[in-house]
Amino acid sequence: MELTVENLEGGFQCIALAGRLDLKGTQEVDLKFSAFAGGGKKSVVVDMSKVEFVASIGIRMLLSNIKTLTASGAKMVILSPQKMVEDILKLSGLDTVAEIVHDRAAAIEALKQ
Amino acid sequence: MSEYTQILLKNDLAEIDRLNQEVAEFGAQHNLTVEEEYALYLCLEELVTNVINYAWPEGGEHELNVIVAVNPEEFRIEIEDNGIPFDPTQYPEPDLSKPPHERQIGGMGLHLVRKTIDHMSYQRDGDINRLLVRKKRAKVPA
Repeated sequence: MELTVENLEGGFQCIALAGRLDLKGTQEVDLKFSAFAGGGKKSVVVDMSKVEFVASIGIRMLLSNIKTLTASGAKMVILSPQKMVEDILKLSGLDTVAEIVHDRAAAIEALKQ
Repeated sequence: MSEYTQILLKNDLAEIDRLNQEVAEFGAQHNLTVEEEYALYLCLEELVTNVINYAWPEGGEHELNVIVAVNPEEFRIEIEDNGIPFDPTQYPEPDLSKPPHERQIGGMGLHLVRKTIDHMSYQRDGDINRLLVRKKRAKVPA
């Protein structure tokens, strides 16, 4: 599981995840992800285009950081999940607490709102 | 005709890695679609993790038995353990209408399994938990 961080305009960050958010993969990135995503009080984009699989442990990681962000008035925007991953995000109800968008411009726009 | 693989696992989460390798091999042998493989990985990880984490609160070394079977109509997962009785079919659904700060973190795994498969049944047989999960396969165009 890989995690890279990129700075966006407006001082926002995009956290790109790559690999499988299963038990093993999630444990590999959890601390780092939480440091970047939930650690700051600023809204983040999470680029999931290279995530091939997500199980409940991955949902848990996303949800707990969404909670931290929303508690400080910020939010998480999820960018370009693959079809099956998006299905799981929706079944988990994550789409009602984090916006899912499919292009970068829309992600940046969503952050500003 | 049904083909199957049987995997004996220790109650150690590191075993999920080995389980995934077996599933990858099984999937390749039986030409499962990516959707079917996804469902298999998901159900196995969620259900096996539950057993490993909760079936033996007293600790110690134990084993669980996993069978994955496939035929042209469906695939099937059977999990057997001799831990404390636990019926996943009776576990409450998480409330997904709550605002973020009230969302519960637990219960999501079983919820995802239920939404992904077609049938789940549980039986307590003496001191054995037997869980059966079935999912219909996508129709392959002739």
